[in-house]
Amino acid sequence: MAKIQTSPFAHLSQESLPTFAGVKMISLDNPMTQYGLNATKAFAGSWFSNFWSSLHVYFDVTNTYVIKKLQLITVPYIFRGEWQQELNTDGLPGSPKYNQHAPDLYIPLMSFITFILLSGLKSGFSGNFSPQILGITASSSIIFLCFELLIVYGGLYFLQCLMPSILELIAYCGYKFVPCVAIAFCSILLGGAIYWPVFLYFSVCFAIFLSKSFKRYTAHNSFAYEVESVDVTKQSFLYVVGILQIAIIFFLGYY
Amino acid sequence: MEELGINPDHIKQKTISILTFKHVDERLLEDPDMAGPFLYVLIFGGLLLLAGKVHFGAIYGFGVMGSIGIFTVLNLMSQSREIDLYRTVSILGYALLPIVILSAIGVFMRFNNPVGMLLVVLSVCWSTYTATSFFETLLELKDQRWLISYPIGLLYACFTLLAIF
Repeated sequence: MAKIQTSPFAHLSQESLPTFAGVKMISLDNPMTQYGLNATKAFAGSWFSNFWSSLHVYFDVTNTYVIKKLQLITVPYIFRGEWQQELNTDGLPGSPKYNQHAPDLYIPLMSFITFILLSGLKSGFSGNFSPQILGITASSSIIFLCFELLIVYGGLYFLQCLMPSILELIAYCGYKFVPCVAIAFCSILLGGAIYWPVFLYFSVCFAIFLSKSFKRYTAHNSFAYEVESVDVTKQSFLYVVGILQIAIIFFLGYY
Repeated sequence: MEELGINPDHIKQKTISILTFKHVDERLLEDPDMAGPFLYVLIFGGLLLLAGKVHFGAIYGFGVMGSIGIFTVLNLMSQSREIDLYRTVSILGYALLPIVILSAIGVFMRFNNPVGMLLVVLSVCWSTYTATSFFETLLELKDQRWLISYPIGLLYACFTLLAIF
């Protein structure tokens, strides 16, 4: 059956368009109106609005979600058992509002900004603050993140695991700024001597959190059929991911 | 003043409702204006000048970047409604009032002591509370109150740091 193309603005009539104090603001007779409507139609299908709406899903968070997620990141050993995610009909993780283990982008973004501000504060307390420090911290953190994304994405691809989308991977790897913020905060409050125990605790907890989250991707193959055997390579890849997190958190806090 | 769109009555009402923690009528919020925030920013800069700090450029740049950031985050987080940049800047500017009061106090005293620190924290919390309640009314956010107050709080804290140190 042939698809009948209708204009998305076919339902518009002059009476339904908005007016301002009785004056017609948009007149359908005007050729400029048609130009504007065509431009809007072009934008609605453009890459930017697709990107925006896919980004929108990851910000659909609530207060309780954020609190539970922060608990998951800082004390993951309390939550035993498999971390089941409910998938929606597309096979993608459901929206964070309904699904505790779904990734979101609000926490990584906020913790990234907090981390940069706390690094600036820390350098201000030790006496050598300059506005460049904020820029240097930001760009070096982003470079580390990109480097790690490359390694993790490449590892998942070559091990033939279920591939996450790039935004999901950015979300999972971006969660590492939460332990960075916690470490920086503790070292500001309690002094420099407390740095090593706090660093070890938070980075190991985060490594556990990320390995358990990535089990969702390594547990399935990208083939159509299920493979029954437990793959040693994939398990050791999870360990590698964990150790990588500890290394990166160390380097991020080094400045 | 009518042709310029400046409505002194609305400005006065919004100012009083911020100062007395009264709930603002949604009709007032629907009519955004830049005159009130502009006035506040000028008073802020003037009071900082009186205290000996010339920071107009930093206030402007920081304000613009922060407003664009908050506008992005708010639009991403709200599921049912949208907000435009003009209204965001207007609300953030109105909620700057407690910090203007803080800088007025700052002409006469330094903030290095515990009392000063307490005043700083109080005024940042007050500004954040005002801005959050305005946004919540406009965007119909449910269960996201602390999530929007966090970036707004960071923004006002940085603003205050600029003003005080």
